[in-house]
Amino acid sequence: MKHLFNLYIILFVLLFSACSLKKDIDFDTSNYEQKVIVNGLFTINEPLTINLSLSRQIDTASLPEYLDSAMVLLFENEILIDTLKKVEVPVNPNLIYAWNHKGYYQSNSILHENKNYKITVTNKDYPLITAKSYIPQLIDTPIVYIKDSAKYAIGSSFQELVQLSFYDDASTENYYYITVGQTDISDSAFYNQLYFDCKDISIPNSSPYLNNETHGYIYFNDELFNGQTKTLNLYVDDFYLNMKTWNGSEEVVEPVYVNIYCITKDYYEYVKSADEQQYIFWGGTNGIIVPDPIQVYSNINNGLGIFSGYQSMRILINK
Amino acid sequence: MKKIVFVFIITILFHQLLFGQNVLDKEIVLTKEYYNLSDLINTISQQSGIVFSYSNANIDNKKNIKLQAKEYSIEQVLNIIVKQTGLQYYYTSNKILLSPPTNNSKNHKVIISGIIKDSSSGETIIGAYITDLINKNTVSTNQYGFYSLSTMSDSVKLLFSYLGYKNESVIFKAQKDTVINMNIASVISLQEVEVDADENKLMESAQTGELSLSPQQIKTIPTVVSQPDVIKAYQMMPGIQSGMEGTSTMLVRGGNPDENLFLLDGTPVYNISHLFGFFSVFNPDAIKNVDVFKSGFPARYSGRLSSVMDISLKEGNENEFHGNFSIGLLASSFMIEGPIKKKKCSFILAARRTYPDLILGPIVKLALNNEQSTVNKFKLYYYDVNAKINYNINSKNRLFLSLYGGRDVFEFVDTENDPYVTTSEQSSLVKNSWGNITGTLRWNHIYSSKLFSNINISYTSFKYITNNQYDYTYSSSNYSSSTNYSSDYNSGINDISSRIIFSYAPSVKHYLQFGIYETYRFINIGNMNNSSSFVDTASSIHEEYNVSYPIYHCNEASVFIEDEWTISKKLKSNIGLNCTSFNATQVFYLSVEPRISARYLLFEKTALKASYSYMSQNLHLLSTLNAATPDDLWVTSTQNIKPEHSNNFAFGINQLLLHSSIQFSAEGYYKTLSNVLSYQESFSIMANEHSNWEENVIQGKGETYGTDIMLQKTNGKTTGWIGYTLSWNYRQFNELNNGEEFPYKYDRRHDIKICLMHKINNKIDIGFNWLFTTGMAVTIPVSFYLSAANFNYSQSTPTFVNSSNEEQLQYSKENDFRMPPYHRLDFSINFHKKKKFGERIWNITIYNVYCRINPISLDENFIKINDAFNYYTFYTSGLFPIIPSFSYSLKF
Repeated sequence: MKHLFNLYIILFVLLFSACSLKKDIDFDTSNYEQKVIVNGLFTINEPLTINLSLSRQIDTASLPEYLDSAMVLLFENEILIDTLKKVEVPVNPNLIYAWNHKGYYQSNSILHENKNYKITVTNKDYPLITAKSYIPQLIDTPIVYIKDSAKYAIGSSFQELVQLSFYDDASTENYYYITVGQTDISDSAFYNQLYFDCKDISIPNSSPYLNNETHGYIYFNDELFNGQTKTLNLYVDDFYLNMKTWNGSEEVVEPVYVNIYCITKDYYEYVKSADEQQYIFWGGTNGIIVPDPIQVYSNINNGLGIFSGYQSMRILINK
Repeated sequence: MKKIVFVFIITILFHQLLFGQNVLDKEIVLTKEYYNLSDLINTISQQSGIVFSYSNANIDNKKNIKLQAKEYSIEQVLNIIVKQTGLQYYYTSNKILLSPPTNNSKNHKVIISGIIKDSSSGETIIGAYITDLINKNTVSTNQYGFYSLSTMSDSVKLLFSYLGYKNESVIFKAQKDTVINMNIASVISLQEVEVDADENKLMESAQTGELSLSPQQIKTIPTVVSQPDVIKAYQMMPGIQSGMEGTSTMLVRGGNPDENLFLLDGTPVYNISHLFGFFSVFNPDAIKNVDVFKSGFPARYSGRLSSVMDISLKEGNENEFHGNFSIGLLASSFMIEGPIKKKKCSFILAARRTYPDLILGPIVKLALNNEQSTVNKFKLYYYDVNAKINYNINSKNRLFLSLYGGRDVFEFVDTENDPYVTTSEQSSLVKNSWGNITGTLRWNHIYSSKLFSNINISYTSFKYITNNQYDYTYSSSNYSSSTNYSSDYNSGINDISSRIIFSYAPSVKHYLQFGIYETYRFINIGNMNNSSSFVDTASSIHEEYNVSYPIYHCNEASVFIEDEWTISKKLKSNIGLNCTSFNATQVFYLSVEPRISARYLLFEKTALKASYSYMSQNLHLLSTLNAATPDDLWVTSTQNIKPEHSNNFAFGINQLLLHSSIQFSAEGYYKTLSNVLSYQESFSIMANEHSNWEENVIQGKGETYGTDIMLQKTNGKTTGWIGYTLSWNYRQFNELNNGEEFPYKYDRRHDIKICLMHKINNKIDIGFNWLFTTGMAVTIPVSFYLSAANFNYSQSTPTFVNSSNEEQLQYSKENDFRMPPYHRLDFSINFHKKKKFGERIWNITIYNVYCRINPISLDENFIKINDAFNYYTFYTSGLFPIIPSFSYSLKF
C-alpha cells in the first residue's frame, strides 16, 4: 500500500507538471469607446490645475492621448468664477508629472478652504463632464519625534521608530494620507520618497499580514480614533535618517520629513480602490479564481479619474 | 410575462418534439359492431401489446359490448367497457387490471395508517407509496415513514411500493380505522447500481422541481479522487451547477450559494464545504434520503430563495450489525450501525478523515524550500462525525438524537533566514480552522391514525478561527532584538431552534401538514485581537488592539399550513401558506408567502405540473470571491439591508415511456428576485472592514428563467440520465454598470449533463459522466487610463501630482465577456467481490479523461515596451488535468 501511495504521488506530480494548465484567450474589446480622464488634485492658495487625457485600448500598444480642445469651467459655491486655460507649464511646476506637459488646464483663480468647487468639461466628441469637491481642513500642530531607544533590525539594517501624534477633530469625518521623504541638499531637483514600515489596525494597508512589506504611503480614516489623539509608529531605515552630505564645506545630515495630507473621502476611496485593483490584478488572487474586478473609484460624472481637494504639511524628523 | 410565455412554449415544444402519444392514446381498429368481452380484450391486446389481467369469474362473456365506430383509442374502448359492464380498470406498467365493481352501498369511511420500514434494517422509508387499488387513491410516507390513507370501502386493497423494493399488497375488510405497519424487502443486491426515481413519484406528486438520488447512486457517480460526494452528484443534474471546477458549491437555477437551504435531519447547516469547497460536509455513508426542491417549495420550508436540500440520516439497523470501511488516496471513512436493543433501540456512527497534506505536503515543500526559506509545517485536512440514536418507546412514540461535528484545519509554518545576516531568523505561522456542529433531538408521536406529530429541538453553529503570527529575532555579540506580531480573528453563526409539525389526514381528499418554527440566532461577524511587541537590549514596546464588531441577535418565527388536496383523479394540488417574522434590534419584517403546486394527469403516463412560490430570506452571505471560502460572512437583514425576496414560477411536463422504464421531464421556470445583495464596485477585500459592511453592500433586482429537461432511465443494466438546461440569468443594481441590467456571473446559456452507469456483471460496473457548460461570464479590463499620482517631487511643499505615467484599468460592462466553455468526461469502474464477512470493492476513477484544461481563472500577460507603451494579452488557467484515483472499501 505504501509503495502504491508513493507511486501515486509521483504520477500526480508528473501529470501536473506535464500538463500545461495555461491557455491563451482572445477577447474583442474594440467596441469600447474612449473615455475622458480628469485628474485634478488641488490645494489651498493655489490655482486649480487639471489634466485631461483619454483612455486607450488594453490589447494594443499605443501612447496615451490627451484632450487638447476642451472648455473647462470652474464654479465656486455654484457660481462660475473662471474658465481654465490650456498651459504647458503650470504656475506651480510641482503639480505636474516631470516628463509630461500635455493636457494641462489651469485657472487664474486661487482656491480656498471651506468652499465647494465644481468643474464642467465640454468637448464636441464627448458628453458633458462634471465633478465636485472641496478642500478639507488641516490638522493642528502634530508632534513628530524619533524614539531614540527603540530600533529593530531587518536584515542588515536597523529601523528607527518615528512617532507621529496628532489630534483628530471629532466634529468631522477625517481622512489622512502620510508619506516620508528626504530632500537632497546638493541637488534641489531631487526629492526621495522613502519607504517605511507601519503596523496599525487603523490602517488598511498596514495589516499584520503584510509583515515584510514597507510602504511609500499610508492612508486611513478616523473611524477607530474619532476625537482622540492618535499616535502612529513609523519605522524608518536609520540609513536615511543618518545620511550625510556636503553642503559646501560642511557635512550635514540630509533632512527627512513626514508629510501629512488631509484628504477627502473621495480621494481616500480613489487611492484605496486603486491599491485594491493593483492587488487583485497583480496576483492577489491570480491563478486561483476569477475575482470580481475592482473598478477604481471615480467622482467624475461621464468620465474617469479624480477631482479632489487636500491640504498638506511637512515636518522635519531628523536634525 | 413574455418570458413566462416563452419558457412555457419552449417546455411544450421540447415535449412535443420528443413525444407525440400516450400508450392509452394508441388507436386500434375494431371491425365488428358487437364483441363479447374476452374477444374484445384479446383484440386490444394483440394490436397494442398491452397485457390484461382479470379473473374469469368476474367476466360475463355472454354480454356483448356494442361499438359504434371502427377506430378508437384504447382509453375510449376501456371507458366503453366500464360503462357497459360496470367493471373497473387499473393501468400499470403496460398491464391493465380488470376488477368487478365495488358495492357502494356498503361504503363507509375508514382510515388506514402506519409506518413503512425496510424489512432488513428496520429503517423507515421516506416517500414509499401506498395505493388504494379500489378507489385509486395514492399517498406517500412522510419524512418519518408515516402514512395515513382515507378510504371509502370496507373491502380494502392496498399496494405498498418503493423503487428497488418488492411490492407488497394487503387485502382486508376494514370496519374501523386500522393500523398497518408494513416491512418491505429490498430486491436489489448490494453491488447493483440503483437509480431511485420511481414512476409514482413522477406521476402522483404535485411537486415540481424535485430531484432525488439514492445514497447508492451518489456513491456510484464518478468524482474527483474517488471521494463520493452528495453535492457533486446533484451538480450532475439539470438546473444545478457548481461555481468553480471541483468545488461543492451549489448554484440552483442561477441563484447564489447562500440561497440554498441545507437541512441535516431538519437542522440547517451553514457551511457545506470542506477543504475550501472541494468536498461537502455530508457523508454519503450516513445518508438515508436526499430531496432537492428547485421550485414549488412546500410551505413547510422557508428562509431561502432558490432551493431546499433536505437530507435525512439513517437511523441505524434495528436488527443486526452492519458497517463499511473505505480507504482512499485523500480520505478514509468508516460507518457502523446496529441495534443497541433489537427492534427497540439502534445507532449509527459514521466518520471521515482526510489527509491531502500527505500528497500536497511534499509538493509544497519541493516548490517552496530553498536556501533562504524552509516550510516547517503544512497541514491540510478535515474530519467529520455523524452519530444518531433511535429509540422506539412504544408503537406510538419514537425518539431520535442526531449529532454532527466537523472541522477543517489549514496550518502553514515557514522559516526564513537571511543568507547575509546569519544571526537573524524570521518565522511565520498561518493557522485557519472552521467547522459546523449540529444537534437534533426529535420526538415522533402518533396521536391517531389521522394525526402524527414531529417535535424537535436543534442547535447548529458554524465557526471560523484564524491565527497569524510573525516572529523576527536578531542577535549579535552586543545587540539582540525580538519582534512579534500576532493576529487572531474569529467569526461565527449560531442557531437554537424548536419546531412542531403535525400531519393530519381528515379525509380521502386532504392531507394537511401544519406547524410552527422558532429560531433564536446570534451572529458574531468578527472578533479581532492584534498585538505586537518589540524587545531589544535597550527597550520594550508592546501594542495591542482588540476589536469586537457587534454581535447580531435575531429571532425568526414561522407558522405554516399546507394541504395536499386530491381535487379529482386527474387533478391534485398542494396549497400552502407560510408566514415568517424576523425580529432583530429595531427591525421587524413579516413575510406572508403563498405556495401552490398542482398536477394534472393529462393521460395515465403524462402529467402536467405547475407551481408558484414566494420566498424570503433574512440571512445573507457576504462573499467576495467566486468560490466558497470559510471566511465568507453570514449577516442578517437590518434596518438598511432589507430581506431578499423571490417569486418562483414553474411549469412542467412529465412523461413515462417504454413500459415506464424511461422518464422524461421538462420544466420551464421564471424567477424574479428583489433586494439581492452585491458588493459595491470599489469594495476592498484587503481592508476586511466588517464593522461597516452595510456601507459596502448594495441591493438590487434579479431575473432568471429557462427550461430544465431530463431523460432518465431507471432500471435495467444501463441506467442514468441526460439533462439539458437552457437558461438566462440577469441582475440589476442602480450602483453597478450604470444601473443597467447585466448577465449575472452564474449566467450559463447551455448546460448539458450526461450520467450513465452500466452493470457489466455481478462483479463489475462502470460509470461515465460528461458535462458541457457555457463559459463563465466575466468582466475584463478593456482600457488603460492615466492615474493621478500619489507622490510628489517637491522639495519645499508636499503636493500631489495631477498626472503620472502610471495607468489604471477601466473594466468592461459587468460580465460582458465569456470564458471558453467547460466540458469534461469522467470514468469510473468498480470491482466487487463477495467475501466471507461481506463484500470488497475496488474503485478506479479517472477524472477529466481527455485532459481538458477548463478555465477557472483569467490572467494577463503584461507586454511592456516602455513606461507608457504597454499592453496585455489574456490567458486562462485550469485547475485539474486528468486525475486517476482509486479507493478500497469493505462492507460487512
